[in-house]
Amino acid sequence: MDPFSAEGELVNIHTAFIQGQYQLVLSDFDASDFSESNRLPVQVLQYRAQCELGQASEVLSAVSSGQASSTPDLAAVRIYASFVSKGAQDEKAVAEAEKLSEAQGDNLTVQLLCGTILARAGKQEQALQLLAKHQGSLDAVALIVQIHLSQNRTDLAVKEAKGARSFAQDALLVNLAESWIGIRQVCLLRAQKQRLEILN
Amino acid sequence: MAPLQGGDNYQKSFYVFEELAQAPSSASATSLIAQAVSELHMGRLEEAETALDQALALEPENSIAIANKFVLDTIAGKDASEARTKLESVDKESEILADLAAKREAFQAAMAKYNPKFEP
Repeated sequence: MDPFSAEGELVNIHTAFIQGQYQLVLSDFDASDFSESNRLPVQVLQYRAQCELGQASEVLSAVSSGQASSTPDLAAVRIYASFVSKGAQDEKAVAEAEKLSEAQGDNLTVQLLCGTILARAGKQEQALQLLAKHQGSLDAVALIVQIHLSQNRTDLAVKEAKGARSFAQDALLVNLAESWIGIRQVCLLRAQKQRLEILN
Repeated sequence: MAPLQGGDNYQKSFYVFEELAQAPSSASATSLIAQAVSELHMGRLEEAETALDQALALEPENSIAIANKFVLDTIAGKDASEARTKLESVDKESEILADLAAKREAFQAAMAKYNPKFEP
């Protein structure tokens, strides 16, 4: 089941995150206000928000390697923060992401963060294989859609989004995924039209 | 730009991004950039610039916002060197810069096959 579904306690922080309101994710939420089982997902979202705001080095100092070795989610966060601060040339992070995704491929945070790293490092097929293990996660669906779009496979992106629409109805992430696809489709149409004009 | 057949999804996309970007409760640099890119595709350069400026006011170092500013300035026929220099300083591995370098290389390779003769 998707831990960020609309019924849960995490819906507001998750919505702020996917809307790109990273500052709000950090300032408006405190992990200690959440029930115990949700504290880790809240922490992970806040670390990811910090990475987006260019504070990856703060994340690296906040998460100890000890914490990372006992919690796969935090291991993924550490690898991701390292990757974000060094860019796609960070081969060590890519290798660590591959290793972690083999050992802990059923963990959603591992799927999302290692999947992002693999895709950005040019290993899109490996990323897709990892993400295929998700259990009804819209975050995973959204990432899969982005990867398909990055490979110019609009057809597969459409299929993925359609599948999610059938179980998630009006979720924001599905609306967003369809909107990314919509922009790509118009680019394709325009290119097609230009080709026809040239041929005529 | 002429309206396109089958562009319904496109309008829907634009409204989703615009709604997120313009509602104070959900506005963010990410949504503003998405709105700006939609405006660009519709040829509405002024609106695109407004949205991009709003995004850059929120996150001045946002490399995706700067990359799109580079695109916008180029399309609008303005001097794009400022945006390009800024992008190089913020994210030198940026996709658009890598793409430009690759195209330049391809052009040089193609050019090498010809022998330029200039009339005096």
